[in-house]
Amino acid sequence: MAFEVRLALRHLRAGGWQTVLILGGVAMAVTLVIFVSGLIYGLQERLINTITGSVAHITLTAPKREPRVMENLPDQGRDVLVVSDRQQRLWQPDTIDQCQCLQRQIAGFAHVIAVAPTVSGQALITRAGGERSVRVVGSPPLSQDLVSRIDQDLVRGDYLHMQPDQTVIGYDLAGDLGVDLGDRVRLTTGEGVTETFRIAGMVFTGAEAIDKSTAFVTLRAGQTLFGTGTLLTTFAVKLDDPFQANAVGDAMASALDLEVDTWMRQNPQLLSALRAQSGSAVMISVFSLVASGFAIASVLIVSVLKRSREIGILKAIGARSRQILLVFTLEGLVIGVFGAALGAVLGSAIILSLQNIRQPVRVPGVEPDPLFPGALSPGLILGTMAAAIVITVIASVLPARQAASLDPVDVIRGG
Amino acid sequence: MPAVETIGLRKEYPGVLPVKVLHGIDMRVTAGEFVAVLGQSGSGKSTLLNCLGALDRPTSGRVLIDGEDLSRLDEDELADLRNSRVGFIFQFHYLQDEFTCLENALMPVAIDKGEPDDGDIERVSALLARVGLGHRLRNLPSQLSGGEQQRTAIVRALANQPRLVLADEPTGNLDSKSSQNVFKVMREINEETGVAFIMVTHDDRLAAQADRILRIEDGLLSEE
Repeated sequence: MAFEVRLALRHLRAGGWQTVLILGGVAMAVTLVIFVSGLIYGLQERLINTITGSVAHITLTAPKREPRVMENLPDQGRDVLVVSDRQQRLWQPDTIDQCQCLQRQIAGFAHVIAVAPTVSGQALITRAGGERSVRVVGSPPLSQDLVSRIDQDLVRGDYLHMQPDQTVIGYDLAGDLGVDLGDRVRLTTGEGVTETFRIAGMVFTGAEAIDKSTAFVTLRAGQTLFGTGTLLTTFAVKLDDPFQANAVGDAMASALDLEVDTWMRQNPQLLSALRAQSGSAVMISVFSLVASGFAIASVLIVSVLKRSREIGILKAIGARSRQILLVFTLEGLVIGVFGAALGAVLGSAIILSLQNIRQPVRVPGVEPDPLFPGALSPGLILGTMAAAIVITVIASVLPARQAASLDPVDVIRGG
Repeated sequence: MPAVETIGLRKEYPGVLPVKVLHGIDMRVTAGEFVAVLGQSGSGKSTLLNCLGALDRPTSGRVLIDGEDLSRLDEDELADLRNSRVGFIFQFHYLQDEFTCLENALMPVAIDKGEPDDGDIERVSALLARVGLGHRLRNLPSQLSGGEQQRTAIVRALANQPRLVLADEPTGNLDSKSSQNVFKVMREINEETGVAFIMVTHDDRLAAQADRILRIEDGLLSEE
């Protein structure tokens, strides 16, 4: 073993409690960073998962009709009232033609994993005097399930085999109406169509918009309710990466004659909140690591002062300045590596043990989420360890340079 | 060839009032000699020794060790020269607290090679046994007496088999019995191995046992 390594290790061993404290400082900083980042990223992951898991990442609707510009108007002087004789178009839902062909085209875009042809709109759901306003989503259960993962979030009943006279509604909505599986409800739309449906299932996603006010029906039932015939109002699109929604949406907007909306554009506050959270996680990490760096530097400076005679004699008997520099930098490196490893174990252990604390059970039969969801990635752990080691080594360079620049003559003269 | 030689050696510490310590010293010490340097405190003894041992650079004049002019060497080359060709013994032993007696004595070898080989360990252990520390090899400095610590420091000075050992009041911190003992060990090694010794001391009785006595006064050297 090289002389420098042996000297560094002996110094650390002789340091005793001082070494334990400084190692603990690094370990605590790494623990804090992993704990805080793991918790923040875990919460974000759950939030994004809840929000993007049960909704379409991109929705495509019929292009908005521009108000018609009146042409061939007579020269209008001042104070002239112009009256058009054109009759206003009667209101009807904007619908999309050429469904099969379009659906194939949409499915061909990058990142797209599912496309659900949908007819949706507002309706009143009534049951024995109680009524609520709901959003009705009519689509084939098999493709809608890929977009909204309804089957996975189903508390009771069956969605995938839902019949045209059946509906799956939000768990909270069912509670509000006081209905159970098999009960009948009526849906009434603005088109004046009323149909009766039996409850085939209840879904609990955690997203209030769905749990409190959504009713899923088959595509056929939706087309009947909203009078669209064989046409659609919407294509609901799911992507493999929710954060590609804007990019893919822009590509669709330029290629297709359809109105494009994405979950990211619908939730701008959410995205900026997530960015602010990530930013604070980074700030906390940087400050705690830098603070531990200062602590390490100050402890090592004291240790250099304490050892200045030994360092002086080593230089007198032939140690080069570079060798002394290496000794103290190595001490920093060893502290950094062991402190970071200890901190990584502690931080991960805390995050993992928190996973056992569950939220109170809200819906019978549904496994509650952890109260503090944590995200531990190898990237987070290794990245934090690397940052801690680098900062520890940087912090030890200052005292190491101080040691290397000691003049043996001064030390020996000082007695 | 002399083990060490100085030609017109001057040393001056700069400042508002520059302090002139050495005013042109010419001396030579040949291999196998044991030279004592006497002088009042502040007379420049230690400064002379530091210049001879490449710890300090003279303001003017030249120092030659084994014929090599130190002024031509850079800091790293001076460090290598101190490591391989000069041994130092100081008033305080300055042993490394965390290393055993043997490891401390081997320190110059470790600085040079990283890891001492079996031959080095054998040679240095024999030297430690020669100075009466054969039973102390595995002891830490804190477990040794003052005399034993200083004898360890003597062996450390000899570890890389230099031709010149510089001792700055090596017995200044010891009682008279230990002093005589430590001096005796140095004198015997000098006679057995032919290593040149230059010993700075206050102690006239020890100086009297050297081959030559040089007296330094007001920065000038005279031989008795």
